[in-house]
Amino acid sequence: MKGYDGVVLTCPISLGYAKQSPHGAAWFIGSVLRELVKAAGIGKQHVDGFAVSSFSLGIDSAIALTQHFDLRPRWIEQANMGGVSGIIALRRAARAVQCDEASIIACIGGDGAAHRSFEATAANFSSWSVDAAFPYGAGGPNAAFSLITQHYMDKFGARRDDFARIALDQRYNANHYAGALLGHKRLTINDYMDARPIAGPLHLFDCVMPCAGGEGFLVMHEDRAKQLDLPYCRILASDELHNSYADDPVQYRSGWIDYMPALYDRAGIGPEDIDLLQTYDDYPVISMMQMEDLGFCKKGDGPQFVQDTDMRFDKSGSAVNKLPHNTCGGQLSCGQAGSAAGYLGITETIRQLTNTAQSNQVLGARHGLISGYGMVNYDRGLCSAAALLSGARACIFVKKCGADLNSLAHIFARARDPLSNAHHSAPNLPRLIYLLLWLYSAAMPVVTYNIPLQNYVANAWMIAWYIGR
Amino acid sequence: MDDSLVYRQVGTEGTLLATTALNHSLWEYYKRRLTQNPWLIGSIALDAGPVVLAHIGENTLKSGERVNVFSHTDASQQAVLVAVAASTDMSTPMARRNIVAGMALDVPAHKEGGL
Repeated sequence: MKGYDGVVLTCPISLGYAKQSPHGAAWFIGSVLRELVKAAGIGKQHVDGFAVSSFSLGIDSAIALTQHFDLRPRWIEQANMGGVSGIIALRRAARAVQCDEASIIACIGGDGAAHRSFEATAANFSSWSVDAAFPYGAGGPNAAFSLITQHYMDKFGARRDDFARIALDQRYNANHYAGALLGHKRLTINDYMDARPIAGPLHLFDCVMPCAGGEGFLVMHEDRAKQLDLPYCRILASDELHNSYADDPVQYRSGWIDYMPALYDRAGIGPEDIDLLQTYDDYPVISMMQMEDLGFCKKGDGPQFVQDTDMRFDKSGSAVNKLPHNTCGGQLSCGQAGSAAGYLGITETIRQLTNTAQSNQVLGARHGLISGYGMVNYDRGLCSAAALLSGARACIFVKKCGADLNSLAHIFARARDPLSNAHHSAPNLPRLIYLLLWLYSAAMPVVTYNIPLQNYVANAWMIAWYIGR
Repeated sequence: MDDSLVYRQVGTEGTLLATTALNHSLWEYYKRRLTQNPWLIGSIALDAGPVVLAHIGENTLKSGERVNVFSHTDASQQAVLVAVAASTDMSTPMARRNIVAGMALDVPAHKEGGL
């Protein structure tokens, strides 16, 4: 498969998460578009490609939105595939930019959450669901995923406290991400285990909260991003495979198994090089399944893997292995904003790799893996997709050194009390401490990653400038 | 790929893959049923091929067990599938009706104080 040379992702936008909202999908998609244009410092007329994902546009489609927004795209795509819609949009848009079918493509997922609207979506999710799931009280995802979860527990001996590892670390991450709807609440193991039952082994904190929200990013040529002075990241490799392992009576694996080895080969790195992982976490068992199928552990070892792995963004957990996972809290703690949920991992990874995440920045992250899963026809998710992104070093270590400082200061402050400083700006530490921390962050990449010397010289200039200031 | 699919009679046997007890529903029809006890459903691999969801007629059924699946109308006049143990008699309409009546699937669920 051909690479994505010269194509970059930039301007991650996450917007307007709310449990209920008077606004419809078009408002969320249009608002994300406005923020994308603002973040890129371009005019709306420069956006000549438009990819949209939404469950609640009703009778409207992407093309109707062009008239709403007064857009004139020469490339358009509608990817309504829930949990993979973001990666599908990314893949299609990257090829379009690569082939010069468009120069700047806005990829946007957005959904509203009117009163009782989730009931309507769940009741009519697919024709198979209407006939084969809804009459049994199994409309909506909980019943289908409780069967998948129960089967996984029976087959591999997973326990509820294994799934808790995923939910708890994600909540910790959400406690440091301002956009997370549940980020203001702590979650303890007792909260998790004592939560009210929903379906079979699934209890309240295994289930995402449906909400409104929008997510989006821009796809463009690398030269264009440099010209606009935008921090960006590259696509090292990506792939997708759908309706795979259809003969498995109950789902416990999916298409990733088939394409991940080749995907890692194309990227030139392996699972051990991944600095952060974003899985599609509609339920913890699905994240566990992805960790296995993406190559982080063997099939069936997921429960042990999450027990042995600290998945917090700041690696402050007690487990020895470190793998920052769903670093903004994922859907379990941010909320599931319809199709935007399929974009959440992408926008979060772009933020992390461009060092523009705020309080939840993973330090020194270079490679991020995003995985998408979705669309339960009646008994299983049919889609699988993955994208492996890398940060552009020049952006990270020279242009954004200020953000480095900021995030380090946040880490420093959080060591005292994680939650109380969650959404506050950096404390006013003495300049000397800033400088020492910054020197550490500047030197580490040179030693660890063999950054070219000229970047280091540029760093030295920055130090001189900082002392001078 | 063929458009000449025809309906034909198939066996009722299958294997229970997984069961779940629903404690929560978005819809009134099931909210009412869930007020006292959770509602049991399961996925079944029919010997004929497909995997189906079905109401579980006997709460002692465990995953991996052999089951028989039959169709019956519920209180909303919707045709639904019900699974019972392979040893349970479901050979006559009366036997099937009794199973469905035992589950109270053929009558609207009562809710204290109404809607």
